[in-house]
Amino acid sequence: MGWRAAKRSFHRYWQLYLLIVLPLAYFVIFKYIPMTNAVIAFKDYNVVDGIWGSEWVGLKHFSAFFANPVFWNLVKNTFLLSVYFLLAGFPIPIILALALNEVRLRSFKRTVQMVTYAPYFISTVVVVSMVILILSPRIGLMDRGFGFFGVDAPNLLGDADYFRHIYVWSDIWQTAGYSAVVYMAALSGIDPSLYEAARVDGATRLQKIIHVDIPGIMPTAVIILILGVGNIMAVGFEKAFLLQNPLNLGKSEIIATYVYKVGLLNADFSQATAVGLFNSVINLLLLIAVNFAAKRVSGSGLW
Amino acid sequence: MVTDTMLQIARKNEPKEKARHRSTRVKDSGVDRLFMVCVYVLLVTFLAVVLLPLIYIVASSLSSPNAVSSGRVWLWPVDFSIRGYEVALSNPQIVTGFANSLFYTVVGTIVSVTLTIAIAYPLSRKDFFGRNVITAFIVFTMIFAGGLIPTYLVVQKLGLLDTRWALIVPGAIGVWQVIIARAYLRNSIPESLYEAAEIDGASSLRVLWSVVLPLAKPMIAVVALMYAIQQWNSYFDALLYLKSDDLYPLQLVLRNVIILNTQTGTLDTATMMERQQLADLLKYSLIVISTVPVLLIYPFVARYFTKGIMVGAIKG
Amino acid sequence: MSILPRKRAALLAALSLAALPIAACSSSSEKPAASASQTGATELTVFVPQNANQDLQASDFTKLLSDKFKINFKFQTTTYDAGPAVEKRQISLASGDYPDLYLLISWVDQFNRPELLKLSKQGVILPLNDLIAKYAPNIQKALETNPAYKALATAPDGKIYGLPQWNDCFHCSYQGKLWINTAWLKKLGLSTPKTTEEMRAVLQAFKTKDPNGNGKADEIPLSSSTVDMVLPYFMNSFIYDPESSEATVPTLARNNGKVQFQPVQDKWREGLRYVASLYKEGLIDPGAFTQNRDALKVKGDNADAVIVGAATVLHPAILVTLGQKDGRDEDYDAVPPLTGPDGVAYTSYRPASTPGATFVLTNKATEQDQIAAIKMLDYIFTDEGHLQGEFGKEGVNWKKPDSGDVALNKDVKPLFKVIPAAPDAPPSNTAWGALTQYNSTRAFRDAQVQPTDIYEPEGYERRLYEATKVYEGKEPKDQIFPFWNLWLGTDVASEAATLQTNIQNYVTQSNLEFVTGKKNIDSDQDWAAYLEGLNGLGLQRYLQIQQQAHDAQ
Repeated sequence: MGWRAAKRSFHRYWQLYLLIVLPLAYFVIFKYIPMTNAVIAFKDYNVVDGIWGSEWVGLKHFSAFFANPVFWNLVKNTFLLSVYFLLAGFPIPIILALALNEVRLRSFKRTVQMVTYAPYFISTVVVVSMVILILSPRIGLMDRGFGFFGVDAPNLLGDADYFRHIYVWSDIWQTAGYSAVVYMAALSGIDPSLYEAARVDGATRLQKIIHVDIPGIMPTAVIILILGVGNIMAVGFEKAFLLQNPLNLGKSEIIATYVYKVGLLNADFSQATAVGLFNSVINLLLLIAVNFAAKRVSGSGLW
Repeated sequence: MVTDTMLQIARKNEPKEKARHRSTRVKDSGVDRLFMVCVYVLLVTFLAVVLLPLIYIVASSLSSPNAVSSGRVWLWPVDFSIRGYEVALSNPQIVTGFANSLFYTVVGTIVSVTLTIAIAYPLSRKDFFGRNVITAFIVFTMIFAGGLIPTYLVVQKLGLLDTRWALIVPGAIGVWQVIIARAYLRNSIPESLYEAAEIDGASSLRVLWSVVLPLAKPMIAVVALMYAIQQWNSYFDALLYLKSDDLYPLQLVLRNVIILNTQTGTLDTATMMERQQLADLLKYSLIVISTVPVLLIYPFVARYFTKGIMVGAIKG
Repeated sequence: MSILPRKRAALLAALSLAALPIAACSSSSEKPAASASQTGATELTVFVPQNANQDLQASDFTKLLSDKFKINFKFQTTTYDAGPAVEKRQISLASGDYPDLYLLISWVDQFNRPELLKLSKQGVILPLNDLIAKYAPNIQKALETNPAYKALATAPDGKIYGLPQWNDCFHCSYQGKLWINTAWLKKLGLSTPKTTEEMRAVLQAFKTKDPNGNGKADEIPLSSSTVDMVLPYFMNSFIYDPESSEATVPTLARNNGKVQFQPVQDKWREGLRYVASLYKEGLIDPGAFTQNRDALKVKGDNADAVIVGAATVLHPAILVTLGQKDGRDEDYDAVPPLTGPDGVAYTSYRPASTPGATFVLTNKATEQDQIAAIKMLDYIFTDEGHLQGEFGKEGVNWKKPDSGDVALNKDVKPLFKVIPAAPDAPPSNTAWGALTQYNSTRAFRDAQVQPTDIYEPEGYERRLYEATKVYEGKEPKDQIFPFWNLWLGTDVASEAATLQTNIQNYVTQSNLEFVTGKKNIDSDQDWAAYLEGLNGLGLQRYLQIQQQAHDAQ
């Protein structure tokens, strides 16, 4: 768009430009001003000299992190855990929403919706505690199940290969209902005439889902997927940390838990910020890439 | 006015929708019936998987601590006891905490939704100059977060510390919500509607108020729900920004109950053990206490997820 | 909503309270003393954790200190919630709006040594040596009579940048304990195992001879949790293992003045071989390496029958709930260190107090503030100040012992007796609690009155005290590497933290892989690969840093 288009837009939407002033001010004040703090990743931060007065050390903290022998393993663990969650966690809320959308029994529909979104409010500590109770040898549900057939249950918690499954599926258990709400809203925004047309064509329910519902929620789904990709390296520390044990450490040690552990011995703001910045840069690159791809494939992206 | 007429058309559409449903119900073919069986099986399975652990939590919260720790509680309370609830609810701050949380949730949600729409709507307009740059500008803040200390300093400089606004303003707009709202507005409101309004001579704000907002109810409901939940669940900001305990939200009060019962520096070991047991028990009753209010608002939100709100008749 | 009437009630109450002082004017001056300003008093800003049932500003102990030392306290309160407490302290420093005095609790959040060195270099925190020498005879005395405390508090340059808390909890110093079900031993006609091989036989009997008598082979001979480790107790029968129930402790020892890394020694391998053989025989619960304490307790408290034979936990209440109807909690007793094939029978040791500092004066404090603050702390170092500070008022929260009362250490004269608060009584707000644990010496703690029945929940502290006696003195004093006294320089602190995290992670993971058979302890190739891996993580550099810090001490 050229300058003329801009002028026309300002002229036509001057009210809307006024409208966005306040939200934009919010982003500047509460997001961009604190963001300048990231320069401490390039400094040896000390509280007396403050952010700007601290000594400039360039890429010291980054090279220290890259030179760490466990660096690649941490990046790999973080990335794989997150990608797995994204791939598994993405379709399930959609399926749930599509299925709920078919249900005509209102009370049943409401019950399922309410119950499935309740786990979202359970604290991570309790969720992990329940997971360990269920999976622990000799006490858990798993054990009772296998014991029924007279076999010893495998100790999934002690097998590093199962860590990601346990993490991801317990997360899906907790968030699928909540995440489905967005798709429920998107489904209700679909143009009813499309259903009408599908009915006239004699479409089955499944065909209606494939040709009306899915295309209808696709833009929302694509956006959610893109935003998810933009958060890949930002896996939180709490849940992985609580699920950690010496036997799964090879796969359960992610960047966040590692930084936490090192911080217990020596809290170094500059180093922690450098690691955070590294994650952000990766996220940004992934986001730009996936946005580009989405625009190519589906014609819609974030910008 | 044309816009009003259009809304009338939209409203008239609703009963028609219901009629359509009635007619399809009769015409369910064999394939469809089989399909519906699959849908119900899927949903019932999912319901069970989610429900059983929830029942376990409720049952545990109503059992004696020993029954829980010995693994005797499963889906029904054992040694029925409401001690966990008594301890939690006897906390003198619980009532103010609840009232505060209600305030933060209601006011916070109103502020957040207003600001979110104020930015999401302009960005959803296809010929709004600068929308891509602004979107990128916003998304960038999702990826590069400032961190705790500098954000605190901003809140401090603005004089928000130890005021109710400290819990409402710093987290007022969520990038995720803005982007979702924008996507909804862009995809669900036909361009033809804007064109019609334009011909009608309606100003941009007028279009937003009388055309867009009524049609965006499902989206507003969802975004409001998300902000409300976020506000209701949060305690960390309160810990950082508030000093006066009469401003504390419920979650912080409840958390203090747990902290009080797990960290007991100077007590003798016997009391410590007792407290520990109580904390184990509280873990479950606190979940119930803090979750029930948010669950209750859900049906009100779900009301807006019914089909037929969208104008179907208008085609470009 | 019920909020409105409540508010009105509160308003009424406030009004009637306001009228009160007129009626009782003589007592009115006493009430707000803690917060009102006194003439000639110094204003001391204190950053301090406050628990939800406390109100420090109105506390009786605050008032006492306020009167005694002419201090107007201005509290900047933080929380007992450890995570946010760290953030809050960092924010208080970063905002530049920091207090005159930080008064912290070691197990919530405190200044660690790299911070103390950094901040003192920057001039933010003040060394206390001169203040102590001039104004604090009781602190001076504590430092002189308690060399371990002095070592913990003093930097290599002789400065005291901040005082750490000292809480000499006897049973906490010996964390590598094993508790065994003595009822099962009795039933099977076995005696308490003394050697590693006797232990194997006992565990085998637990597994196969149905000690709980329910006809099912449901016994778990030995269990534990990821917080409480299995290895240290057994390792100490082969080689000194300083680890306890905290994985962050470095597995270092001292060998003729040189630092030595235990997990690469041949004896360590033998220890692993022994534990691996126990595991292979099914004598160790696989869950011991993966479950948290909640899951362990489900096994310990198992409803139908007692199923756990032994557990390597700090104290038995981690395994079983106390005061159970069937009395199973009374069956678990501590087993002394086992003698290994070479006659080794050590136990792990570390002082119960953590390195760092909780009492820290900043450059915001005027000279008057500094003197008042150190005098206040000096009072807390006396028994009189300590008792009132930690527990509260005499006659209300604690009292002098009655005749016939027995101290925790039976051989000493009892000093005080804590009066337990009624279960549902409102918090009395008379004390500062854990904030005052500075001179909690062994002698002080030993002199508290405790019930004599050790199997009653009330006598639990004594039970642990007695149990610890079988471990006391078994730590090899000449081999202990006092990591808690080391001050790593600001130049290497960050490097050392990374090295230690990598090395400890690798060791805990690999060792359990050897135990569970994922790696073969008998294979020289696997062992060589393990050693190789440690070198790749910079073990030599790590030891070099530790050695330097040790030599500088």
